[in-house]
Amino acid sequence: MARVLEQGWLRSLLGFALFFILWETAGRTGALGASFPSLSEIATAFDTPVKRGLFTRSMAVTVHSSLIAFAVGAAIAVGLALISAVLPSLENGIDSLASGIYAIPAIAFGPILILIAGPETTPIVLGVLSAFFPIYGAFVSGLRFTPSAYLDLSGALGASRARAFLLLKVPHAMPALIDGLRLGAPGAILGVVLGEWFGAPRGLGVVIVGSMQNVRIPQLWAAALLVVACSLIAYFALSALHRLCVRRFAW
Amino acid sequence: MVTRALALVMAPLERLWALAAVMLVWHVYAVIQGFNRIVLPTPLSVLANIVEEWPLYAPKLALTMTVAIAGLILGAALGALGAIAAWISRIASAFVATSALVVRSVPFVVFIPILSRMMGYNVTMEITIVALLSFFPSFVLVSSGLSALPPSALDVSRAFGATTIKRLIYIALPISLTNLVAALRLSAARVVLGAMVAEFLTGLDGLGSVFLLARADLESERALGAAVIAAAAALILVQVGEALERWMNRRMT
Amino acid sequence: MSAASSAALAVEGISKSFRLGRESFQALRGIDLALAAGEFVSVVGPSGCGKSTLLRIIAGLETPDAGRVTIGSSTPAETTAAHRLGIAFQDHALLPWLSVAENIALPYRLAGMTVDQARVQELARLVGLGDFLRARPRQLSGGMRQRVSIARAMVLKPVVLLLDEPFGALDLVTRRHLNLEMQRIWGELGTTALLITHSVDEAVQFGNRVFVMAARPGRMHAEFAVKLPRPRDRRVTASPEFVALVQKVAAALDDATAASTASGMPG
Ligand SMILES: Nc1ncnc2c1ncn2[C@@H]1O[C@H](COP(=O)(O)OP(=O)(O)O)[C@@H](O)[C@H]1O
Ligand SMILES: [Mg+2]
Repeated sequence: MARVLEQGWLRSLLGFALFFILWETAGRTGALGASFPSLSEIATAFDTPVKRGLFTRSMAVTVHSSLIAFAVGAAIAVGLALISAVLPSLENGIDSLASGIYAIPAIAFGPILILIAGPETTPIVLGVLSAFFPIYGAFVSGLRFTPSAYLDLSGALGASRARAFLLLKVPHAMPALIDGLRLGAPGAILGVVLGEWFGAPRGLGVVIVGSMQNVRIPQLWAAALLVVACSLIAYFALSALHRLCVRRFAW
Repeated sequence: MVTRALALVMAPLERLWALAAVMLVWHVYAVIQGFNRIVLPTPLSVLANIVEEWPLYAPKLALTMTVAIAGLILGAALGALGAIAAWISRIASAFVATSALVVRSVPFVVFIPILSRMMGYNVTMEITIVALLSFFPSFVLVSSGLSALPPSALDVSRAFGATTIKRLIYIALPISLTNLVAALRLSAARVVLGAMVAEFLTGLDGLGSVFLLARADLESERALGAAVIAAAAALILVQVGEALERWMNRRMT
Repeated sequence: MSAASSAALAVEGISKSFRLGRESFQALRGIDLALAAGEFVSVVGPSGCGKSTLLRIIAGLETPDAGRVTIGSSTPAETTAAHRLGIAFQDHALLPWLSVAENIALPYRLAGMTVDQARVQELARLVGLGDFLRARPRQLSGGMRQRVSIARAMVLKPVVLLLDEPFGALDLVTRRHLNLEMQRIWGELGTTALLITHSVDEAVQFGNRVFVMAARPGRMHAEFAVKLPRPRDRRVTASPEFVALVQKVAAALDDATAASTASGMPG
């Protein structure tokens, strides 16, 4: 067993090494054009304290906004999912609102948010909107598709609707909720970066557009890769939580 | 009779109250704050603007949607072909697992600035971006369809001596068609975003660039008009995708 | 050996184990079976004794650990590659997006042959689905689906026909009706056939011979020759000879089941 794991590790390590070597050669030879830098070239984006300072400040802003957006988006999603589960008469309306938010491209909210919320808050609101749907969708489907055996059980035991809801439906929907959360986190980051493109003063998104416009290739790549790294970290952290949760609530 | 009529009136309300509420909040907010038309237009004035300036919006809407749909179909088709190639050559699993992770965790939109630098500010770049957005969901979903073919269907094809190609044509492809359509539905929501972000960042013609110009000219009504049109178009595209998926599911079961 | 080599279907010393977690579990041990050309043999056994596994090995869908299967002078793989095997699965395995006619014609397509529409229609009529050619599986009852699967099994005029509980999911009335039809169809085709069933009644009604299997490990427990006239319609099945034979086979099956349980007990 341990040996198999080691081999698995070894193989992914080799895979990554190969990937980075290919990237480096492609960048150095210019095989993919001047705008595809090698990894070492991207690293030059961090080579002075001033440059590093720019990235730390920008990243702090983006991460901060994303955390707020994620928390608010999750709270709204969970709240609306619970409301729609408890008050079926509101279910259809909330659903169509949610699917509207899902279908409408986040960028289309930009112009009105700039006017209402201003350029500093727009990233957070867009983050909330794009974190909301995956969380709402996952939690609602977890709540709605409770195995009928559970419901038979609560019926046979004469449990009240409230008790059945709290003791059976909500726990059953927990893994789905966490799955929604781990999709929502990259969503929040994406929304925030997008929002920063609408004239925000600071943030990784601002660095990205700025370096795109000024053709600062290593800086552009570095900022984009930092955004991706944040997404991956959030996703993997919540994946760990998801595994725990599945072990606890699913069988 | 009266209750029937009432039910007919109420049925759409039951779904649309939330939308109506959003409009109402927007309207009341705009009026109460006493903002003038330039700062925050009311929904009605935006609608009036759309009607008035339709000749301006129509070609931009056409451009954005053409790019979005072309990229959607191109990406999904390439994704499906990739999945089939991976299935035939049996190298799927590692690729598919990584791609599935990438689809769920990487915000592709941040690569739009990079791609537009690499390929230049042109329509080819825009279609490439949209196609990239729809490639991965299609590759992942079609691969998972192909890897989860019903064992009984596989038994049938083996017992009657089908070659891999026949198995692909008569069993695997029909089954993965459902997954392909699901991928189209899934990507439908993202392709309009991809096209508009590309237009917004590079100034390429389309609904996304209206935001850019309107912001420069402080024409809020026009920016909001473009946003409402984009929202409606994306909603319709997603609805079409969902209808297609429902039809396909009925057809295949 | 000589008996086996002249048989239309010969199963010699088949054993098969499955891995269950860390342990391995023997599903079949030393199965021998030989069917003469045109013979119809039934196999009954308690649920889980390895009947489907045996059929899947004969069809080349599983590889045995030991022993071999010969169909005419070919291996199962050669037979399926030549598209000469007919099989009706326990769960009928129809493709839900194809119509009845298309499902029956599927073996032609899988084999890359041109579809003989006349034969498809004739078989559909034969199994009583002539009016349902354009229906989809979900519009059919369980019995009708089974009949589609039987027609599909026969469409390429197979050298051997394998039927895995084709009447399993049916109610008693439908079952009786289908039994008679199947006998008539088989009478017309005269293919070598192996029928898996858990119904003794059915096994005796169809078989020239009936084998009784015991479980854990799956093995042959008893064999009976059925010397009753065909067609085995209600007059035959009501005859004392038929009833007596059914009782004998049923007793052997009870015996086999008891033996299975005993040998299956750990310790
Ligand atoms: N692919 C498999 N893997 C593990 N065990 C199997 C597999 N196929 C069948 N078995 C086991 O082999 C035994 C015989 O199965 P089967 O042939 O389906 O029995 P029957 O058709 O007589 O009911 C069962 O205990 C079943 O669980
Ligand atoms: Mg079976």
